[in-house]
Amino acid sequence: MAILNMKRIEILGLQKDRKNIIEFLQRQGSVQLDEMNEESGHFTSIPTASTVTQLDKYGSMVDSAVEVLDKYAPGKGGMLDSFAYRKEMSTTEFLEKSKGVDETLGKCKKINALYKKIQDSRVEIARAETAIDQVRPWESLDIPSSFKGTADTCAFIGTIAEPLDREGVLTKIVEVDPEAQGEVEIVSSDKNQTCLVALCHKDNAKTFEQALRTAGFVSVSDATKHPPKVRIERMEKKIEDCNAQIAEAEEAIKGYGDARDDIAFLRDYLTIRADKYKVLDKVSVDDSVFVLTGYVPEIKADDLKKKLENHFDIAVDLKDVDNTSDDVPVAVLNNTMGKTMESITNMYAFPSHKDIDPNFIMTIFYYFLFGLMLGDAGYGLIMIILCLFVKKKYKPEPNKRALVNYGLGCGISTTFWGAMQNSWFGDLPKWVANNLKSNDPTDFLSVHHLYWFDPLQHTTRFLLLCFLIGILHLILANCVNLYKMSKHGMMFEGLVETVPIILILIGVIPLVNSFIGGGALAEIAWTRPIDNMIKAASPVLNTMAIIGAIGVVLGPVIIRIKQKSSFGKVAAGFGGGLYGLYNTASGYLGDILSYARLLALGLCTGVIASVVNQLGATPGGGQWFIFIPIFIIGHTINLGINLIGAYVHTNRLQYVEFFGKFYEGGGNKFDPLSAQSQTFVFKEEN
Amino acid sequence: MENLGVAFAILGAAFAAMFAGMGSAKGVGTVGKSAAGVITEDPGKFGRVLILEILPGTQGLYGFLAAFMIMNNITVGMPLSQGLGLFAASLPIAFAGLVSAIHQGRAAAAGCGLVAKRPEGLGQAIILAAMVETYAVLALLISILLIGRAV
Repeated sequence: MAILNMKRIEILGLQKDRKNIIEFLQRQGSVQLDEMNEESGHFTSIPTASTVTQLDKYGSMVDSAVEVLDKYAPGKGGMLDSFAYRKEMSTTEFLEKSKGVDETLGKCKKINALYKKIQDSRVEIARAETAIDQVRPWESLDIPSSFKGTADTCAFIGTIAEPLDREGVLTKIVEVDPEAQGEVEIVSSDKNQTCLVALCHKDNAKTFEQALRTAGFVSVSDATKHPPKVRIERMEKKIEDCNAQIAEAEEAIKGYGDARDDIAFLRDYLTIRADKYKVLDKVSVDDSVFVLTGYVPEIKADDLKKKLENHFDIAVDLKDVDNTSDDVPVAVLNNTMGKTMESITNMYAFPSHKDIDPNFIMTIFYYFLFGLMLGDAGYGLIMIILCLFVKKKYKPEPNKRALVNYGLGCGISTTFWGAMQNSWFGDLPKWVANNLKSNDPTDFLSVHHLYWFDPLQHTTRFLLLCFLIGILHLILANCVNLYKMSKHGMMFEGLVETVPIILILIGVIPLVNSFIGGGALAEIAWTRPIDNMIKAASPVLNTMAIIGAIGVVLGPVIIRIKQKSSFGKVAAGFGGGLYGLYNTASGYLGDILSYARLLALGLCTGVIASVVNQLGATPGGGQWFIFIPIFIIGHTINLGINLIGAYVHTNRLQYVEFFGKFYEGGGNKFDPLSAQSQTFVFKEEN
Repeated sequence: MENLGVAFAILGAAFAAMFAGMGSAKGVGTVGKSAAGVITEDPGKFGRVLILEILPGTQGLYGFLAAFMIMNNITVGMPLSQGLGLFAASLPIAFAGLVSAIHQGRAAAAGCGLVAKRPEGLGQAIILAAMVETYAVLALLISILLIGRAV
């Protein structure tokens, strides 16, 4: 709802309490501490960078251990488990548990070592496999490859780089040197090489070898004293051993699966300690006391002061600050509705002290627009059921609850708009009513006309609706701008700036109704009165538009007159006003047209959903067993694509059309020292 | 010759689905390449770049939608003028869809680079790419209104 006011907090404490006080502040999580400017006077700071580095190193060690555990001993958790409520822990429990961290760290080290062993064994296996591949062609050779010959013979063992049989080799040798005599035995031959053993008489050896080499013979490069078969067996044994080692290590890692919770706690413990040490660096100390300064939200300030004074011998001073300054960090506080928008707003820009917190104001239109874009009651119901399930089962904590509530809001609106347009998984009710034989509108909803309009039949009415919603959205944006300017003491300027635009926006409604709407409201009985009303009021509305246009032109003139500017400047203001009118007209025309995306995306979802149903029902002439799988797959894809589409384009309408009118953003986000833990939260302390 | 109207109307439906679909295919492909690059470095950014990748896909849906609406309006033996009208109505989304999807793909691919360096910049990256889409929306709008007029 609002941007919180901040206060300066200055803490003067005893040196011996330093760590305890910082730990206390960390658990409270409501103070953002200043960077220490420079060492002033006799105060110094204690460097803690090396401790932080060490803690970070342990942290990454734990991270890799967790990764290994996830791989070999995955936890039971499902996809939605991240919504689960973190358990509460008191300070004493935390200290008690902290005693076990060294042991857990040891376990992490062991897990990492085991994993390294697995990796090493894998490398070893790969190496052995390559070696086997190299020796494989020699497998049938029953003598060692280093065999040189007997008393009377010389043996040559090696390859020729082409496929040959015994005749081929002998022919080649004789072609080179008819004198060369010997015997050749082929060990193996493939398209790249021929492995062979050549034998000749010792007296003849030189000539024969010469001829053999000229024919392309190369001796084996890795001659060994064992026959190739023995070598292969050895390698295979090695692979087997390595596999056994891997299996053993994996088993051992699985054995650490129980330590998962302890390791998760250790990770948090390390983060919390690292954060603490980062802060210790910022503390000014002398021999006996230390000083801390920072910002604290006003609403928490007094409570925090009381708690600090209860626990420690300490002097706490709170001071007011200029809450419009850019230096002061910004924190927002919202109710349940507004909270759901915080992540959307922050994705655009974090509010600054110049802004008003837009989160709550944008909620209504956000859901409205989202629902209109997704616009299918079946999909909406799925979202509602899923979100309620998560809420019920996991009872998520505040941050995650906002996300679930966001989904719930979108789901409700989607269901509403889907029902308005008679879209329940596209035209599913019609197919069901006809037992998949046709999609004639004989279902209950269609027969009793339990919907507002069919967007495909009444496209122009849908479009008109989109533009009207757009106009309302833009009017709201201008109202917010007026409120913001008045808050900054610029009420007059705000009125001059926004009122003419609001008048124009209201004034163009008849135009939109008759021109773009094509008389859509006049088509059916119960919207006809609205049409009549607009028509009756159109002279008034037209006048409003004209007054608005004049207002836009004269606006700069009025402001300059008020500022008592010179005549020349006032006249220039008139020119500026004319240009402003052009800008306003073209800008707002573009803005209003931009809301046509509501129609585009809304129609897309419904039409594709109907096509999915048709695809399921047509083949086989309406068989349920064909229909159901196609239905499930098709609608899952359609829902996925259109969810993202609706999300992106709702954001765009908020960012460009809505925020563009008043929101500046760019504030420093309030970033208090807090216990950043994944697995638990600290219990409230008094 | 009496079915020439129907033939033109069918051609229109084919144009809308085909050209807008081609644009989206190209656009999504462009972002996909950049997105894969980002994920190689940091698999945790998959969700963010996926949103960007889907952005240029909507033109294909718009073309599909226009094609569907034209198909719904085809009647046997419709006059040539009506068929030509439906064909002409398909042109805005066919071509504005084709071109805008390709360029939106480039903008979104650049957005992937932005997200790679500054993950919190996703909002800005989305707006920059979504700006391009406005023209596809406007084209679809005119196509739909024209389809309404043609029959």
